[in-house]
Amino acid sequence: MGLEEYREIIHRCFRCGYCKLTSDYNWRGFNCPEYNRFKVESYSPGGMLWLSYAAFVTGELKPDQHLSEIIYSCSMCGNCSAQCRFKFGTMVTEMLRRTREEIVENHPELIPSIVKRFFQNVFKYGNPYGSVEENENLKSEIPLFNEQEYLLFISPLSFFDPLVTESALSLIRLFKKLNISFGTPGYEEICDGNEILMLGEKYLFKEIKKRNIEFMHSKGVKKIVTYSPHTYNAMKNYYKLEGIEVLHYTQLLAEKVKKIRIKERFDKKITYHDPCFLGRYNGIYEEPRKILRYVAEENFVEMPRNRENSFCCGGGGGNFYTDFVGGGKDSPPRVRIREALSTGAEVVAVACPICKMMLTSGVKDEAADLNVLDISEILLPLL
Amino acid sequence: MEAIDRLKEIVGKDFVFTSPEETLLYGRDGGSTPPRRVDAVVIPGSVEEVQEIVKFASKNNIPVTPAGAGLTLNGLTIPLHGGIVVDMRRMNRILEVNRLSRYVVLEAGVTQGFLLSYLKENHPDLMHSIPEAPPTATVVGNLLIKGHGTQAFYGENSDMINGLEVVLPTGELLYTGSLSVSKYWFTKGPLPDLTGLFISWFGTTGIVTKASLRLFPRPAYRDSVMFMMDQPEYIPELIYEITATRLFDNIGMLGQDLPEYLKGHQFVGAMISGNYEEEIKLKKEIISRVAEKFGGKVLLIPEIPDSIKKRFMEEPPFAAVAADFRKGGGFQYCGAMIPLEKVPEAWRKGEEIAHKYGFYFSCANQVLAFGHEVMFGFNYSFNRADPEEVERVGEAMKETNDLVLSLEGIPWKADFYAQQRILAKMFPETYRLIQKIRKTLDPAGIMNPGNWEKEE
Ligand SMILES: Cc1cc2nc3c(=O)[nH]c(=O)nc-3n(C[C@H](O)[C@H](O)[C@H](O)COP(=O)(O)OP(=O)(O)OC[C@H]3O[C@@H](n4cnc5c(N)ncnc54)[C@H](O)[C@@H]3O)c2cc1C
Ligand code: SF4
Ligand code: SF4
Repeated sequence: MGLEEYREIIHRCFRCGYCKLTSDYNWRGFNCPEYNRFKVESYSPGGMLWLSYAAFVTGELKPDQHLSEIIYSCSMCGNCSAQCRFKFGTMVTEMLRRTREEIVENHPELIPSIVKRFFQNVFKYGNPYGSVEENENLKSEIPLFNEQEYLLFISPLSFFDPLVTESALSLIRLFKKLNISFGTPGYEEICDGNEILMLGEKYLFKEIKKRNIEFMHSKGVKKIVTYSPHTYNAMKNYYKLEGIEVLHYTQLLAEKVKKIRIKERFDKKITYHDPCFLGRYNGIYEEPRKILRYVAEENFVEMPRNRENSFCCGGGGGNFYTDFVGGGKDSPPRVRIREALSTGAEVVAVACPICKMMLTSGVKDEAADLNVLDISEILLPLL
Repeated sequence: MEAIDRLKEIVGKDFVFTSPEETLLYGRDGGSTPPRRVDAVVIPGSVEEVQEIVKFASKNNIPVTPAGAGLTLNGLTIPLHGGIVVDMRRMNRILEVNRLSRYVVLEAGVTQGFLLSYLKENHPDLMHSIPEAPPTATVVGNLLIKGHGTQAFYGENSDMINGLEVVLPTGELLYTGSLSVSKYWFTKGPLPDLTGLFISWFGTTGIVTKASLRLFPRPAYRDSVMFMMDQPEYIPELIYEITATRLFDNIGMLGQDLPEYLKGHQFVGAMISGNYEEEIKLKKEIISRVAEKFGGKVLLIPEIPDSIKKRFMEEPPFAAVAADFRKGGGFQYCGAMIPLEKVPEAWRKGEEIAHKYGFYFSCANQVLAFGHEVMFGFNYSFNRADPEEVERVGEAMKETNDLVLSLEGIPWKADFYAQQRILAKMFPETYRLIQKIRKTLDPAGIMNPGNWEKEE
C-alpha cells in the first residue's frame, strides 16, 4: 500500500508553510520541531511532501538513505495536520507516515539501520531495547492482572529507563493509594506498536496488536488504562477493541480528582507540556489541567504554546530512540525547556514517559533549574 | 568541495546543504517556473556570516541568490545560474519596537506571522501593513519587492521602510536611512535616498540583513463595505469616489468565474477601521452612499456573507486557498502595477487570456494609496501534477505580461520573461544606469546574475 492511496493528493501541497506554525503564528518559533531544528525546507512538512512526491510518485529524485533519514526525522507530532489550512490538511501527517510505509514496503534497502534495529528488537523481545532484565524494585510493586477492574499498561520503557521506572512506580503507588482496582501484565508487557506504526511497519504493528489483543482476551479484560499516551493512541484508535474501554490515566484521575483529599497544595510554580499523542491526536487537553489546577491552583501557569499549539518534545515517531533530530541549541526538548523557563515555572508536568525522557535531557543540556515530573509524581506526595 | 568546506567554516556544518534532497526545493516554487539547479543552500546566523559568504563568493565568482520564504511564485529565489541560495530565515529576531515613533527593527528572516503575533502580544496598539501572502513570508522579502498590505492607504509597504542594513556584494556593511546619522532609525531621512537601491532589485545589489519598518495604530474595530457591478468600466470612477471620502484603509477587487453565480460580476471591497463603533457606522454609511452616484449600475451589498468577509478581513487572509482550486497545489499570478484607468481593459482582456488557455478567470486586485496605482492580479490555479497544464500556465503568464506592458502597466515581481520584456521597452539610459550601478556595487557580478540584465 505505502503511498498508493495518496498518489492523487500528495502533490496538492502548495508549500505555503501554515503547517510550520501555530494557529496564532506564535513568534516564539516554528512549531514543526523538525524544521525548527534543521532550518532548511527539506525538513519541513511541505518540504517532505514535495520530496516524497518527487521520489516516490514522479521518480524525479532518486531516493537514497539520506532522503530516508530526512523522512524519519519527523516526530509525527501532528502539528502540520492541525495547522494546514487546506481541505486535505488533516491527511498531512498521515501522508508522511505513509511515506515511511512506502520506504519499508517498497524500498527496504533505505530503512535506516537504527529503525531496522527498532523493528527487530520489537519483533524479538517485544520492545525496542532488547531482552528485559527484571528490576526487583518494580517487580515487587507491580500487581499482576487478575480480574481487577483495570488492566494498566505501564510501557516496556519502564523496564529500561530509570526515569520512566520512577514515574511508572509512582503511578502504581498512586493507584494503590486511591484504591483503584488494577493489575498490569508485569514483565509480559510488550510494546503497544504505536511507534512501529509511526515508523511505517504496518505488518509488524498487526503482529504486535494481535499479541496484545490475545493477552487481553485471555485475561478477560474489560477496561484498560495506559500510562503512555502512545499506548493510548494505538489501543484506542487502531486496535478496534470491542467491549473494552480504553482510558489514559489522566482521564481516570480527572474523574476522581475532586474526591481526592490532598494534605497540602503543590507550592511550586508549575506548567504543563501537552504530549502530542494525548493532545493533538486525541483531544485530551483539559483532564491533565483539571488535576494540576486542583493541586496547584494559581501556581499553575500555561506555556505560550499549549493545547493544539503545543510544541512537541521531539521524541515521537520513534525519535526518542532513533534520534534523527539530534541535539544542539534548537533541539526540540531544549526549545521547550526554554519556553517553560520563560513562564517562571519550577516544574514541568508531563503525562508521557517519552516526554519525560526528552524534556529531562533538555533540562540537562540547558543546565536549567527545573524539574520534569509526571503528573502522578506531583500528586502522590500530596496525598 | 573546497568551496563547501569554506562555507561550512563560515556558518557551521549544520547549515550548509548540498545533497539533491536538500537543494531540490530551492530550485522550484509553487508557480510554473521550470525547476533549476541549486548547488548549495547556506543558512547564515549573523551579519558577519553573511559578509563572509559574499566575500568568499565574490572572490570565487560563485552566484549568490538571497531568499526569504520564496513565495513570490515567480521564481525570483530560484537562481538562474546555479550557485548558492542564502536562506535568511535563521536570522529572525525582532530587535526593537519604538512605540512613540512607531517603528520596528527586525532581522531579514522575521516572518509576517511572527511580527503579527509579536505585536499582538507585546504592543497590541500597533500593527504593520500585512500582505495577503502566507504568514511564513518574510517581512523583508515583501518590502524588497514593493509589497503591499492592509495599510495600502498609506502606500506600498516599501514606502514604509525607514532604512535597511545591507551587506554589499563585496562584503561591506551599509546603513540606509537615519541610522547612518542618528541612533533613531525613524526615517529614511532628509538624506540622499539609498534605500531604493535595494527595492525591486531582486537581490542583485546586496543582502539585506535588517530593516526598520513603520508601524501604525491598531484600530479597535474593522469592517468592510462591498460593492458589486457587472461591468468593470465603472471601477475607476467608483475607486475615485471611494478614495475621495478619505475614510478607507484599503480597497480590494475580486472577480472569478467560479462559483457560477459570481461569474461576470466585479466586486469592490473597502476596508474600514476605527476606535469607536459610531465611527465605523458613520464611515460605512458615508462610503455606502458612493453607490448612489452610479444610477443603479453599482450595487451596494448590504449583508456581506461571513465567508467573503473573512476572505477580506483575516490577518492575513487565506489567499493561498487558490492553490487548491484545481486540487493541484499550483498557483501563480501575474501581479501588475497598472494605472487606475486601465482596470476595465485589464479585466476584459485578462478574462480572454484565461479562457483562451483553458483556465477559469480569477483576479484579485488591490488599490494602492489613493488609486495612484492598482496591483492587478491575474490568477492561475493549476494542477502541478499535470505537466501540460503547468506549461499552459507558463504560456498564459507570458501573454498576460505582454498584455500588461501593452496597457502601459508594469509586471510586479517580474519573472525572467517579464524582466526581459520590461528591459526591452526601457529607456536606454535608464537601463545603462541600472547596469552601471550593479557593476559598481557588484564588480564580480555574483548577485543573482541574470536578473535585470538583458539576455545575450
Ligand atoms: C497566496 C499569496 C498571496 C500573496 N499576496 C500578497 C499580497 O497581498 N501582497 C504582497 O505584497 N505580496 C503578496 N504575495 C507575494 C509574496 O509572497 C510576498 O510579497 C512575500 O512577502 C514575499 O516574501 P518572501 O519571504 O517569500 O520573499 P522571497 O520570495 O523569498 O524573496 C523576494 C525577493 O526578494 C529577494 N530577497 C529576499 N530576502 C532578501 C534579503 N534579505 N536581501 C536581499 N534580497 C532578498 C529575493 O531574492 C527575491 O528576489 C502573495 C503570495 C502568495 C503565495
Ligand atoms: S502541508 Fe498544507 S500548510 Fe503545509 S505547506 Fe503544504 S499546503 Fe501549506
Ligand atoms: S508531524 Fe510534526 S515534526 Fe512531523 S512534519 Fe508535521 S509538524 Fe513537523
